[in-house]
Amino acid sequence: MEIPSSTGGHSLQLVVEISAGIRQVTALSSQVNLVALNAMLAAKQAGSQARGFGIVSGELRQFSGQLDRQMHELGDFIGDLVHSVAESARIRLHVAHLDQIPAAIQPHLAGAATRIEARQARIDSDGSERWFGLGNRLDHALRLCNTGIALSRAAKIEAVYGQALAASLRQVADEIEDAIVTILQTIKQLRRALAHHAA
Amino acid sequence: MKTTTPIFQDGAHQWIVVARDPKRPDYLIDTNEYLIVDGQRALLTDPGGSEIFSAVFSALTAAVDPRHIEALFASHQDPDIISSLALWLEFNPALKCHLSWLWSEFVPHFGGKGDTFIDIPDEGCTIRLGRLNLEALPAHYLHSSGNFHLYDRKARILFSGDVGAARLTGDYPLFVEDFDQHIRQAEGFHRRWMGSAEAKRDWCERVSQLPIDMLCPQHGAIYQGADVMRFINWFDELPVGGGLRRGGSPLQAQA
Repeated sequence: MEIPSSTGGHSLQLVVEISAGIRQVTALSSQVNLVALNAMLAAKQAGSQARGFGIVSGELRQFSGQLDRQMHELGDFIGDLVHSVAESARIRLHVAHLDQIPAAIQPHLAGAATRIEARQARIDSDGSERWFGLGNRLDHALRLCNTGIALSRAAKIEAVYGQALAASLRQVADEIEDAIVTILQTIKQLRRALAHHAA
Repeated sequence: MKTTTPIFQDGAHQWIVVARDPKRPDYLIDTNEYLIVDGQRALLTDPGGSEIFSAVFSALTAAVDPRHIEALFASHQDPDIISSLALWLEFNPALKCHLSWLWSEFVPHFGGKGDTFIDIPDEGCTIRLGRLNLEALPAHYLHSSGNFHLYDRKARILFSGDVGAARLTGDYPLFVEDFDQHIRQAEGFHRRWMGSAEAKRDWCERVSQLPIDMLCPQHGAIYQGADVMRFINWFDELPVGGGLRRGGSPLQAQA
């Protein structure tokens, strides 16, 4: 017996794509955290001229921590989403089995069919809410990334005041900005994939 | 959600265990799944029942790319081993399942078609995964009449299915820490589930000749180092198939 449609398969493929994106974002976020930590230490050595750079670096580390937490929560959320997808696939299997039963006998199973349909409706509704919730969470992450980009640009401005260390601080700020831009692009790509799936 | 823990790594060659589901309902036995990886190719042992598919899939997806899983290995036919097959095939219809020939007409009741299954002959066979040669070792009647374990000679790891299993409760460690204490929780299971003293003796003799650093059961904690041989010796001495004689209720032997 085969499951009649492959919507569950497509949904699971999307889950895999989103999970891969989360892993990528988490790795880049760790990189931002590490580079920002080094930047804070470098700013401390540079003295009062690089004080602003040090403060922005600290805020970038906070950004990285927030992003990590969001990605962690997203991972847990995806676990619930997989549960909905799997349950939906299981229900469709039951329905497919019931559909095999000769029409003359079907009325005897009307009660079972009604219960299964009700369960399917509940699971599909839960699933829709979860997919919608996933979109919202990705939107939150996008907003956070925009804050991160603003911070990395502030770091570039503050680097100018680093005097002798200005060039190296600028390089650090560029590195952070590149990482956050990649994070932003990754999350945007996931958001597009989700919108495509919903369509 | 279950968690994944790498237990072996040598370059692109990895073993990852998927274990311990805190959200698992108490009426379901806890299971361990093992992902054997060679680069971008992977095989999953005893993927579990359909009830835990989402926990296994989510845990795997958080750590690796499950699209790399090209095959499943089912040690035997039980629902806690392979009833998730239809859901795995939903994810990847091209997935293959290595399984004893004995169950090739039974397990399709869980899902899959004729070409999903790759029969393992009674004497066992080699399963190729990338550059790895995994050995399906006969373990018939331990406990199923068509039963296989999977040995990775390079990693020196034996996936032992229900052999070595223990029904543990609470938050227990991934590896056996106190063998004597642990084995008390494995005894009832082995007495009742392992039905043939002859098969057990044969298995112990064969397996004791293999270099094994880790013996990985489908339930409970993993044996490593000296505990592997301790377990084989203990199992060799254990009277099995007598679970019915132990008490008033046959099921008392499970506890």
